[in-house]
Amino acid sequence: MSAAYKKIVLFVMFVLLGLIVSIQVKVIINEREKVSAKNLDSNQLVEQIEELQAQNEILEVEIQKALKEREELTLSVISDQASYELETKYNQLNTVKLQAGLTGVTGPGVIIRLDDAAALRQITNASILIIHDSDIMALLNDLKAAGAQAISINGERIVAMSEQLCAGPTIRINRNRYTVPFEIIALGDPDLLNKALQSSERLAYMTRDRIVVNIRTSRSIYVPGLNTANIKLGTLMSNLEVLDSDIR
Amino acid sequence: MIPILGLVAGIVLGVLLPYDIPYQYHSYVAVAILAALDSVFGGAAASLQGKFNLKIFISGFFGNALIAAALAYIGDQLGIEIYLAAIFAFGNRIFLNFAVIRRHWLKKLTKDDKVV
Repeated sequence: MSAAYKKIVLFVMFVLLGLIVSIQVKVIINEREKVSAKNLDSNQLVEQIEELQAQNEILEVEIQKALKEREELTLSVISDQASYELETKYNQLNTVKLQAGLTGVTGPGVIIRLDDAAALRQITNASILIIHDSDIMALLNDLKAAGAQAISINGERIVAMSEQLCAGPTIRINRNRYTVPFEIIALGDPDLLNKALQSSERLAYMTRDRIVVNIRTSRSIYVPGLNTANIKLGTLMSNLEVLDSDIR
Repeated sequence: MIPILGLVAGIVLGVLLPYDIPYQYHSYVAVAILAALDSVFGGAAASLQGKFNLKIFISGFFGNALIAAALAYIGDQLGIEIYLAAIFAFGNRIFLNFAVIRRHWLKKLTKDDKVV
């Protein structure tokens, strides 16, 4: 064995040793990172979310019950006093509630189901596959232009102050977040609404980008009233100066 | 000099290469590394004493690593931690060889014969 040969063998062996040591260290470091990520325990977080959601649902039912009770109490007071003035006020209140979108309503209309386009295509700009807040706003405006009387998105009544705000992968409506699919219900003349949708420029772009759009008309659909639990209407009203109290 | 160059080259290569050993083999690899280190220290001590033999070094380097890994594997299958034996044996020998190296250098640096 020549000296040069020995040197090469020695060199190769130490390269091997260094190689295996560094790979081992790399693997161990990777594993430690994985373990520390596991410690976050997404399951626990999911559980917390589900628990809070369940609590929310229970509270929601309680709110509805309390509202119903208040309504019954108001009615009983009116019938007890048998006052014409009170009855007129009550009817006026109901009209205002209806106009403000605070009550649930039923009527003919259209149901539009929207979902993100399937990400099957190779595409450089994935943004066009997604439904954006601006899409929703444009559609709502088209529906309003066609005389929609009451609109809801995923059961969230749209009123004058409702926002449709893009919040990451969700859209925020009335301070609640919703993900796809979106179901827009618009009450009004179904034919008019349908025609408005067919001629909607934004909807045409959306179908071109293969966003899932499914429109059907119905004789009778329910649109819920505005859920005021999340909206501090009271504080808003108290800070506003009422100039013209007549209800037209 | 050659060993250090080789070690550095190997470490750089290992960091750059996108190759990983599956995590479930990490204990076998660790024991194999320990065995190889034992051979390295043994080789270093031997070369200081002028007794270095490349064939013995190569066979010890690969043979010990393979046997240590194999023992660790068999131990896993049997449910007994045989790799502890490898850790103890090789660890012990590493310290012994290091002691030889240490004495050699101290002797050389201090020129004091009493160190041995």
